[in-house]
Amino acid sequence: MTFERIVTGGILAFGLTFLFLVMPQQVETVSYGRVVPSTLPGALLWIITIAAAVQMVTLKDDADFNTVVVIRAVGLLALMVAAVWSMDRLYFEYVAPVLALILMLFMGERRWYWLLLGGVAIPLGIWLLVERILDRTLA
Amino acid sequence: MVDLATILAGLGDAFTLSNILFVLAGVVLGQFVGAMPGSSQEMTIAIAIPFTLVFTPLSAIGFLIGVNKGGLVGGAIPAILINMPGTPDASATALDGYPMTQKGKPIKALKMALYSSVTGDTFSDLVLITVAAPLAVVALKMGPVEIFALIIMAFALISGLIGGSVTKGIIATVFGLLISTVGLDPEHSTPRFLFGFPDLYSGFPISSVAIGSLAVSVIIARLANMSGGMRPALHIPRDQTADQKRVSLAEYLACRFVLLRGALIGVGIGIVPGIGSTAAAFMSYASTKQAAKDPESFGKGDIRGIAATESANSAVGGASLIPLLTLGIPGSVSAALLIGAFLIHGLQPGPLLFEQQGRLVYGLFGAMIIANACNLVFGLVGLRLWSRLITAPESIVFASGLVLCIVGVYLSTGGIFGVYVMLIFAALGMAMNALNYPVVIFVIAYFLGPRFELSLGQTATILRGDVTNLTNHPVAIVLLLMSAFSVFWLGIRPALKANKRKVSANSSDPLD
Repeated sequence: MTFERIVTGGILAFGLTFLFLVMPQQVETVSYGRVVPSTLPGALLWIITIAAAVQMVTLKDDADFNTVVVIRAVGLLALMVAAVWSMDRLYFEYVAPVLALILMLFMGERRWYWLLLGGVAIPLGIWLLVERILDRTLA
Repeated sequence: MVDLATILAGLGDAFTLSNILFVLAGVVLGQFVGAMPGSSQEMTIAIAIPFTLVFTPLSAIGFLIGVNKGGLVGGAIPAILINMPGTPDASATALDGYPMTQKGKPIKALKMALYSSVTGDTFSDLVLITVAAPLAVVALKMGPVEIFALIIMAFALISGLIGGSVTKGIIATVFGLLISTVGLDPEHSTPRFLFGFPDLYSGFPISSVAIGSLAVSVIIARLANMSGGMRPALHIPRDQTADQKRVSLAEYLACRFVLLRGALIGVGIGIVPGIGSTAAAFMSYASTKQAAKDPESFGKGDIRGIAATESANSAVGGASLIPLLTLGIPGSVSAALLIGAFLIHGLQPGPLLFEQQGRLVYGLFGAMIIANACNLVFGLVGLRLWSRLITAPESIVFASGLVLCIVGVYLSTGGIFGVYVMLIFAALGMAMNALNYPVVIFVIAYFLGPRFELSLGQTATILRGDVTNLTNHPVAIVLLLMSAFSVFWLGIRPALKANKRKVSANSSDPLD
């Protein structure tokens, strides 16, 4: 079974799960009105399910993946999540420069002047503009 | 009826040095903010409104109009230069703008975007100034049934952008609509798919979905694909000929029908409240591709693609002020914010505005004309500056871009929850891109979703569940027929043609 077929199977399972298990729990039943809260999501989930089933049958090519790139992308996303989580607990002005520096080092940047500009000056400039000049808080 | 003296007095007020400087400052700020991924002119207007309290009403509104118009031009800059649309409107411009950059013609692409934007904007301003009142009456006749038909038509036109796989296009569209159903349902106000998160009562924030799936996903994918060695984010060849850098008059004039069509679509969408410039940009792009003799050149750096999207999304700006000024109904988020600014300065938009504040209204029109001129002049200076900035190392551009996306979404959603949502949609955007699901269609469907469901409910009630009652709505019937034609022309006909070509290629192959 190709990777794309597995993903399409996942979409099919998502449609069916939401239709029969999630929607009854997460959408209130209303007995009046021509378009009730479940009308549109129900119809859309049926369309997703049917389209995924058709795709399962008609799929010919498989997606072309580079595992290393996928791992790097997941790692970057995890870094972003960790940074946002930290921003919520510490202060933006401490976390943003660290995030920018890690990203720049990850990209292979080693020149100190660029690291200083991108990792310190720009994040702190943004913080100054938003928190001090515009008087809006950043976490 | 406003007399000539009032009109001249209003225009005279607008063309004072101080007012011109306020408009110019707004345009500069708008272009700067528009060019920052993750920021938007709506956010800038919202932040700037309290600062304008100390200005005179005309200076304040002129400044905010400048921000709005400048943002429309600025939004195209990162989309064209690094394929990182800061706003969904600009994602349509990126379809042909970024391929032009890859071909070594970023300046030319930026100039075409600027000229098209100013053309569309000026056209819609002229419509606003000359025929605002009768058009507003037409807009008022667009009831829920007609708006529902118009949204169906938007979907039909956008079907031309689905790409290679129809099922993937359908899944992306339907998934976008499904995501838009999260939150309170528009008819009964009952919660749906909240999963215990009260932040979801008003649905996923639009900025989180758009910036996550369109901008952050692109940056992260690009970082993940980097294979060492610091390069500039953009490489502009030094030995470019003049033709590669400028848009000649002949090239501009060759796009005149594309620009006019885009401007007309933008005005048409702009006067109907709630549909927005993203739909206009994509409708214009799809119809230009449909009308072209060589539709296969679109998406590969065709200058007409930029002209179509930029003229349409900028034309929405002026047209969305038509229902605002004449009826007091905002046609877009920016117009809704401008209503707030009007009220703060003691002006009540609506039918009596022209009678009671005629001089100020014509002053505003003057400010709009000034803003267009400033957009053009500062845009030509600014695009050189932007293309220089973007030649900085990728490390600076992308790291700063991600920090700006976080800040922009945090400010526009008012909390960290929106930033987490942005990251979820970034992951989704990356997965969709990797598996060739059209992300842009997903985002447009998400944008149109709430309006679609509301109109669907209203239409079902008005028609009392009987489709034959549609005969009382001739405009809706025309729009639905045009939608059916568009689906055939854009969706079915190209597929049939491709099949035919495949069959004839196979039959002419001697090895078969």
